[in-house]
Amino acid sequence: MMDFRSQIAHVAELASLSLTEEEATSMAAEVDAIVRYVAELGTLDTEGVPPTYHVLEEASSLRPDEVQPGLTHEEALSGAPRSSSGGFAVPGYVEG
Amino acid sequence: MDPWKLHVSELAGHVRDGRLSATEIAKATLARIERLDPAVHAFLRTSPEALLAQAARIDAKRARGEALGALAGVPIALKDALCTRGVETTAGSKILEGYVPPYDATVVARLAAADALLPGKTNMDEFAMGSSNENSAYGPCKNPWDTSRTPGGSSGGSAASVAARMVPGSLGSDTGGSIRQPAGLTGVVGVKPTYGRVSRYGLIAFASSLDQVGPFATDVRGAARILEVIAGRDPKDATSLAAPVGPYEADCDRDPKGLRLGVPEEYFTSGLDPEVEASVRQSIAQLEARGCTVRRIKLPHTRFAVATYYVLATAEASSNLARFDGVRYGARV
Repeated sequence: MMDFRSQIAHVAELASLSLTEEEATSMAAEVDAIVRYVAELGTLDTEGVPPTYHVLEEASSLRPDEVQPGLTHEEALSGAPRSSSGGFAVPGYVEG
Repeated sequence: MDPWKLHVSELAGHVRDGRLSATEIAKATLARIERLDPAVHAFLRTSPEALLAQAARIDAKRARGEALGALAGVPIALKDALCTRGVETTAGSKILEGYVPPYDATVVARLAAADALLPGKTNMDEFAMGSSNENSAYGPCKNPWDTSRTPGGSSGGSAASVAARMVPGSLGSDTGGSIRQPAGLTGVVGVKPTYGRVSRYGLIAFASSLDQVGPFATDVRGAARILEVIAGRDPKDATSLAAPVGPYEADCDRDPKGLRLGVPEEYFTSGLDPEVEASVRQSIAQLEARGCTVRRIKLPHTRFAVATYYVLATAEASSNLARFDGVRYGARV
């Protein structure tokens, strides 16, 4: 059994989540079970099997590059909490 | 005539022949949702005004003698993962609370073009991740046959709305069972179409190489008719297939005699409820009696399927949902 507690702590820190010792221990056990379950795939001999890049048999076809009516500026910005000069306005995050 | 007792094709036929108006159906549908949904919670929201306006347009079209679409006056509920122009779309998540799309998903536009009525958006597990509808941020949907049980998921609301006969048909989406399993758990017809058969444009993505929109209905014919309307190439989804759409509804009348059916023996292993197995075997026997050839086949990689699914689906979900994590441009809460 692998100990995933340090990884759980690392991910929790990145996600700004505070976990109790109990939560971290139980999650580590769950992650271990998941990893062991998925590791079953390693028992399958895939030597010589070409990788599947996509499930579709036909190549995806793109539409002709022609201008078509789309959203208006107003429609595209309708969901924005704030817009400015025809763009999405976001809080500044660079000083100066 | 009680509209709620009728299947998809019957309703459309009655509207076309003038025995029922789209407005009558719309009003009856709203009344039935209002009466039954408090106990089921299949709908996250309904759009009564828009529904009555759609109905009035369809009735006016008929009054002018214009040809009506294949789903004329048929109420079709929409899973809340499908974008609807001007109607809030949340995918069962509080992250998207208040999001009003400025465009319709292609399947929604196709239903509207076929003169369907669109009464509202259905409950689902958040971002379609779940199999019980208990993971909806707006509270669970219940199984109408027994409200102490789940309807399955993630398209639980779409399944339950049909099972309770609030609507004769609905749309769900299926990544790893999200149409098929709730259809089974609520006793309605549900189809996951072949990948690429139906456009995903406007479907809030979970795992893009597996997601597919499909119909629920009270009968097979109804599901076939809805699929015929929504299927087909869409220039806005490069993974949608150009192959012609089959006559699915007409095929419902075909004699199954002469068809060859493969029955994978790996699907009848431990974990299968004996009652379910007996029922499936009975159906196989019925098809044999109707002249189908049934052959036992082996799909030896079946036992690896779920592990493979969980590698692919979670990796794709992680990419797709990164757009909501607020890491790039900050949280807006």
